[in-house]
Amino acid sequence: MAIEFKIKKITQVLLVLVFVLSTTDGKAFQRKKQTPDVAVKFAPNNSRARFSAKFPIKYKISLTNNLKADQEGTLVYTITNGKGDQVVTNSMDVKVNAKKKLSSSFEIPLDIEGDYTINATLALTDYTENFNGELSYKGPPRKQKDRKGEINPYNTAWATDNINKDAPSNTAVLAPEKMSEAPEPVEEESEEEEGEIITKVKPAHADGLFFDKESIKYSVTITNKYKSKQEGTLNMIIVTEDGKVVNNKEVKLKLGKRGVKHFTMVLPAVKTPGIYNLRVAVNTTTYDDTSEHAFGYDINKINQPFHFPPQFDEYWKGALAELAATDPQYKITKDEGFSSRYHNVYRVDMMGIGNVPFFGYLTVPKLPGKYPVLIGYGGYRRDVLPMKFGDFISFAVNVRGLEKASIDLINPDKKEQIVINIEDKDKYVYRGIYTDCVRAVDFIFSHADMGMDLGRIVAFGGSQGATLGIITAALTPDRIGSAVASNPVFADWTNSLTIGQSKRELKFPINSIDEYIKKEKTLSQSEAIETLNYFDLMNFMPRVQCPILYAVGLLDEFIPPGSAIAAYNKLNPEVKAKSDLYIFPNLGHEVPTSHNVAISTWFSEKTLRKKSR
Amino acid sequence: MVCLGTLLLSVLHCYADFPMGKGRVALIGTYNYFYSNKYFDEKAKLIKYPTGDFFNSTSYGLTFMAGIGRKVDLNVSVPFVVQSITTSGVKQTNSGLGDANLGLSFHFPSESLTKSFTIKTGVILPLYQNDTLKTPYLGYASTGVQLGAAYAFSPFKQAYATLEFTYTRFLDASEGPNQYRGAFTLSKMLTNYTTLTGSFAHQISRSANTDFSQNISINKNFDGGTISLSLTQRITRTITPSIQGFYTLYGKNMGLGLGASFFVTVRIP
Repeated sequence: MAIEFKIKKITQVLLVLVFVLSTTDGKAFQRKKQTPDVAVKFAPNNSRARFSAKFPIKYKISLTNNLKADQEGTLVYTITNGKGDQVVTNSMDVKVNAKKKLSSSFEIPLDIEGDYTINATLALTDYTENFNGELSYKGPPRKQKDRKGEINPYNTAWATDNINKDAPSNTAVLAPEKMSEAPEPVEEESEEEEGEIITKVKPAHADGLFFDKESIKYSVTITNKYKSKQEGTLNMIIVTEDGKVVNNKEVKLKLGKRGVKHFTMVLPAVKTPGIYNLRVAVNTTTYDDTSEHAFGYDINKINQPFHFPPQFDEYWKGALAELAATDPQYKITKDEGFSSRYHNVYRVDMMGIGNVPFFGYLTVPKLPGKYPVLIGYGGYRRDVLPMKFGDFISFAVNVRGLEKASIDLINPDKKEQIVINIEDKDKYVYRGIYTDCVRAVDFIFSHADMGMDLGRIVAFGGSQGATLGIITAALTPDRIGSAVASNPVFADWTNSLTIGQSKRELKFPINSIDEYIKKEKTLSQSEAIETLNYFDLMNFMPRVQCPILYAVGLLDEFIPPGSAIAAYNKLNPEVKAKSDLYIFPNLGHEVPTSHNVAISTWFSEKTLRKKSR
Repeated sequence: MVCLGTLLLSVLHCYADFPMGKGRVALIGTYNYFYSNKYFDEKAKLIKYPTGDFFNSTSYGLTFMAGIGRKVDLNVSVPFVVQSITTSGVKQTNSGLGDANLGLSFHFPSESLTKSFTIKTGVILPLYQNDTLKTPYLGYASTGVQLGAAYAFSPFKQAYATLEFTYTRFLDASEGPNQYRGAFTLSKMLTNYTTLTGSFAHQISRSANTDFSQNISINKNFDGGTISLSLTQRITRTITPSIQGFYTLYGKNMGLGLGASFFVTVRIP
């Protein structure tokens, strides 16, 4: 492997590269070859550089180093809108060894309608070139269904917003989609043809799960959009969550012009239960692309060891006792702005441990009756709004750290929330956050006269909110009747840190913890884990007594999916038998819209019977 | 600020021909009043009975509905009927349990639960016997079977519609009848709690017995179309009363009916 990658700073989903832009008429860049020392080809995937929600802004690039010396440097590109504002700026380290060729494609994170210019500078050891061009994005922003593998709205704080007036700068690395020997220099002029190869792969089972020594089968559909025949290879590589190649299979491809090919790829069964990534690389005459997929094998047998810290139970008994000794100081104020013809909405202010204030929105249908209660918890540092349901009272809980009053108390130094007081388990911010969630349940139970049916209570949330819901159920097992948890995080910290640190790009929360340890030098990683173990979702799972509707995306970047599933497997067998696990192999930190029906059904069915207390 | 998910809870309400939801139960108490002093003859001509003659029927019913699976509902209904005929100033009255209905509905909803196709099966069990000493008869006194299909969908915002076809065969007599019924129902939610529903139904009943009786519940060979309009008002989380009026628009060999219903649906829990 002749190419090395350096990561300076990771702030974003995969971005990329090296490019050279098209001519001003928006046509694909057509570069004449005259035995160049370094040859760069660049073209938008859409031949006219017109993009939409269905066709996100994507460019392909190939870089040929005909020199005897390695070429190393940076690509920086800027997208500017019609007003002259720079809306996206990204940079990337690039290195192409001597006599090598590198090909890739990349997506630009922009989906606001408008006309833009792109300016890029590729500066290598012996080669510098500037590229300019135009592109346009038409229609509405991309919908969730078009964003496979990206984050969902309640987690957007975890990703850098790359489209704002401040034009944040990001650095990524060139994706290694194809690396090969540099071809012999071409003497004659040639033109790059317009088109692309569309590759679709589907696991034999829609949930992407395989069991019992079953072969890993995928159906493959490859469509050649070029006007010429394409020859090359398709390579499927199975990789463990921490990046170790398990096996791979390559087939030769021959595609007629504008031809379509369907076939089934059968890969040998994997041996160890777990989640595996599947890289699908297509390299043909004029097109190279790699896509990432994932599947699970014997996931019911994924079993990570517990890492219980000393006196885990005593620690939480102490925390709950501290909460009980804290005057909740409930203050209920009707919010006329959020109230409607059918619902009264109240802002409920409360005190958590350490006398830190937080609040929730209680939404009560106006129609008389005793209503089941849905307690909703938000994602990492995300506010939650009132939720209006016809058949339920809802309580949207905004834990400490979201309003200025509590931020001033718990985070005067403006640290990343995940590391606030991580040096001391008794002061760690999540001790307060978890007990805030319990206080919200206390509120419900002390205000049954507002229409709450205390025998029918569901805790729910997505991302961090999922974790909060489950942990609340674990800490108040006699009160919560069921939980809905989509994309839970903060599970199996030991394994998550190991896997997270094996990635080329560190993602939240690993990057925040890693940076903090390196910068502050107040604790070691093992000391950080020692604290985190008190707050590890997996350690709470055996204490949950209610059924859970649990959902995991196998391309989740914020937690290794294997860790999330390992936590699920720690449920007591009786609880697990009543719970449901949904796996979405093509999604990252999100669930599909259709899953809302399952959630609604769960709410409806699980609130039929009163919880015996 | 971000809302915690967009949830489709509203579709889980007890809309006709949508699944009730596994484990959910509803009780519906009904009161019907029917009055007829005219009829359509075999040539569809409207004829008035002699002055003072009329047929009327009052029934009280109890229907139990339960979601026995996510897509399968059970329903059982039992009516108590009081009906009378007044002819030349003489009034005959009969009363008793009527035709019980036991049915299963198999729903095939769309993934988003905004559309649903339903197959319905049912058995009609008469809880009475016709006795010449007790007239007017309460019905055919015949066992019957039903097979139906319905498609429910949302034609526009805050509305749902149902297109339904039902076939009923009464088994105890060779003359049947065989009955075919098609109906279109459109409901519009005026508010979150108030729904206005209009329905049109056309029914064809075929039998070798073409006699016409002033007791319209025993006629076997007729055609006719009826309309109905109902208003539903949810008053608590679990209780929803409705009132309904109906009228026979046209027909052949069929009594012209005018009536009203009142029913209360109680969801449990």
